[in-house]
Amino acid sequence: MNDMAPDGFTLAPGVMPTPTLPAISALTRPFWDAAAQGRLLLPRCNACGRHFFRPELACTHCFALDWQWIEASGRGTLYSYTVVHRAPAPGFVVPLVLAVVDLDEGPAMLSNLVGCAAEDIRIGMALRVGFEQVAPGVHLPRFRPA
Amino acid sequence: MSRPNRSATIVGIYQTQQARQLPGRTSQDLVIEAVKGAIADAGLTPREIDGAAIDWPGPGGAPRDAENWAMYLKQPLSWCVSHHLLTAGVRGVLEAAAAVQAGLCEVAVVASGRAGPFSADGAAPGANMSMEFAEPFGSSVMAQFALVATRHMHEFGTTPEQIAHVAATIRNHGHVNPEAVMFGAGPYTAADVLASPLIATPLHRLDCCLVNEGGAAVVVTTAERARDLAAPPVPILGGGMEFFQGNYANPPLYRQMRTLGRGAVARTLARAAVKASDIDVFSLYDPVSFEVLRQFEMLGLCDEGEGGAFCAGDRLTLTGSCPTNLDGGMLAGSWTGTAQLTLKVIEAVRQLRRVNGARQVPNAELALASNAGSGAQHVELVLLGRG
Repeated sequence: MNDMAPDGFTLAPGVMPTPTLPAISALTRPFWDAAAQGRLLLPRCNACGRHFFRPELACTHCFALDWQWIEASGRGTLYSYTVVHRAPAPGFVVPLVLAVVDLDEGPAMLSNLVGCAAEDIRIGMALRVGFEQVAPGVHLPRFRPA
Repeated sequence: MSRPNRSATIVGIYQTQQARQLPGRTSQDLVIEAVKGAIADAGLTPREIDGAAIDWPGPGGAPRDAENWAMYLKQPLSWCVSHHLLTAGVRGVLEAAAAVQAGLCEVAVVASGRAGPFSADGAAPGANMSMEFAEPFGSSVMAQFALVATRHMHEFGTTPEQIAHVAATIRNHGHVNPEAVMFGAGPYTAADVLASPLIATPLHRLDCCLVNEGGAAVVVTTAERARDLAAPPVPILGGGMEFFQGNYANPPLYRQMRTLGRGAVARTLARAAVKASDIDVFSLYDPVSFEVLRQFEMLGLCDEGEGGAFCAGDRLTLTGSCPTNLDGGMLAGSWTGTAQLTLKVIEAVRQLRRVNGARQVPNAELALASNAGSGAQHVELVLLGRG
């Protein structure tokens, strides 16, 4: 199946092999369930109103335990990146682009930059999320130029 | 009656052979060799050791539990810790120093070792933690340091050539150190580094540290006790640590890492009442070459963004103003998972004992050892002197 990103573009299925799958816990299950539906979720603190990532039991800004998942815009900018040429584990296909994305909501997350030639990568470029199914039921958020 | 001087002092060091592979060796027997060797270097016997920050890889005993060492050391022990980052390196030595100064024990040993990094159980302790929001994207230790380097290049114009020059300099130190894993493998130029395969841009293979086998140990006691021992005492003049967050699970953001370690530097220097420019020899953590130039910025020996230019030329060599990693560091000397953390301390001690032969810094009075770094999001520092 093709995976529809929130704003409608379609990624080619299975473009990036992912041998190391996320070790999903009860804490993080909602994130991955939403990812399978093409939605990027972020924790937002009900006490201070700020977003944080990764999910943790307590808000990393104010230590409050009261937070909820919200749907993020899926938009961000490229903070830093590295073109990985040596596969970190058997099964990864290199080169791949490991990216740090500053999400519009505030937090930064690790992801991949796809759909962009290496020579066209610019720190600060606008990005939008898409989702790739990498294993049955497991969809990874990856970013491409907006 | 005056109180005894409990200031923590290093009185024993030992490193096993460090090699790409040590056939027939086990992690446990490397640790045993290192522990026995460091105790003997101090002129002590095992039953005089009442503090243990020593890994226990097994077989036998209770896995990873330093309490096992009571069987061979003073029984019962007065103090022990068992985490893989407390049984090695600067953090281990500072924890042992704190225990000694607090009177929790009299003589503590810090030790670890690793054989078989290519075997199933041989991954570095902590390296096989689940990184749910990192590893599926192809993240790795080297890639996370590369993310910091890329941003540094973007903000300050640091070049791959400047980074490669640091790698070549340190690897050339290993080239002439018979104890280094890469002894005789050079010499190298920055061009050689840039011609080696890319690992994660901007880092090439020769910018990245080794993976090999070996063990190391350090003995810490009080200044009072050190007076009676064989080895020249090396006092711990100051130390400091900083931990930004758990390592490798979250992206290392340069906007947060740019000041990482500066508080630790300030505490270390204040305690010793010296300036960074007083340091004679540097034993800096070098998982990647870039991290060395960033640490000179952290130390305040150059401005932020100027690390590349600062490390140019011969500054980091034996005859330069900041002799750094003269043993070859982790780029060419040794990286075993945790024992390399300890080797940073041992090289500093050897320089201060002034027993380092061809790579001895003349009249070395102050030596700094560091562990970890920006990509790892924590820094530990220890400043050592002469007794």
